Amino acid sequence: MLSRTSTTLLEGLHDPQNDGAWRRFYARYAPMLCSYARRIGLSDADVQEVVSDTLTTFVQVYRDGRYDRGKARLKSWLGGIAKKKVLKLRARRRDLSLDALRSANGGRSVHEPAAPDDSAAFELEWQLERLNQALELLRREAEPETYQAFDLYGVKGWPAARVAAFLGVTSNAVYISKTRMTARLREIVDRLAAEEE
Amino acid sequence: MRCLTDEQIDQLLRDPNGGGAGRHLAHIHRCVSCRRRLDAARADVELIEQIRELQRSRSMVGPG
Repeated sequence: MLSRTSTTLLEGLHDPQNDGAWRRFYARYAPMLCSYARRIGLSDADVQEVVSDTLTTFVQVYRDGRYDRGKARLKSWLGGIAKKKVLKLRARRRDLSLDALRSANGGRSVHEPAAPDDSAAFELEWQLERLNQALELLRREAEPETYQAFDLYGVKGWPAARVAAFLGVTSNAVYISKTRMTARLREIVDRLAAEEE
Repeated sequence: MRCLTDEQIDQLLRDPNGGGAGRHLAHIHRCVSCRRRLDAARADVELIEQIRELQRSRSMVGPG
């Protein structure tokens, strides 16, 4: 996700003393990597390992000047690193379990399962993270009451009359808020996607 | 029949078999404007579902 904000975020990573840049980078990408790792069925311990290794490796690559945005987008770089980490981890786990199976099978060879393709899971989490950023931008720019109407009615599914009573507005205002906010959210999502290109 | 209100379109999406749904759908069948609004509302539902998926996904993520 290389929006203008992301560009600033990455630039700060050049300086190893810039703890704030690392924290912001981690806060931005760790949750989506975590969700990705969980989505593909890794254990809690493995999730932490993959997330930590992926982000650390990316920062190293970035500081070494090997990250070339002209060759690939941030999504491809980060996704590529994450998928390699998962492959290595699975290979390690598979070797361990295959050893156990071979041993149980009297040392004879056993069937090795094919590695699953996790690309769809990464793509989904990337899209969700883009949506997450868009929601944050929407929250910042919208009138608090309008955003709240959208959140309570549209997202949380409260009845419109309840939201209207809670916010002291008409039900029609609640419908209009939801319609406007979703339209605006879609615009922001599209803009972020375009900025990634 | 007059064009549907936002509330009626919303109710149609939330409960396609609810009261008045048949009458509303018959109107939508004839009215290009309401059909467009229903399509837009359906697209909104997809977006909302993505937000819920995001919340489910992130709620499983600890502080790290």
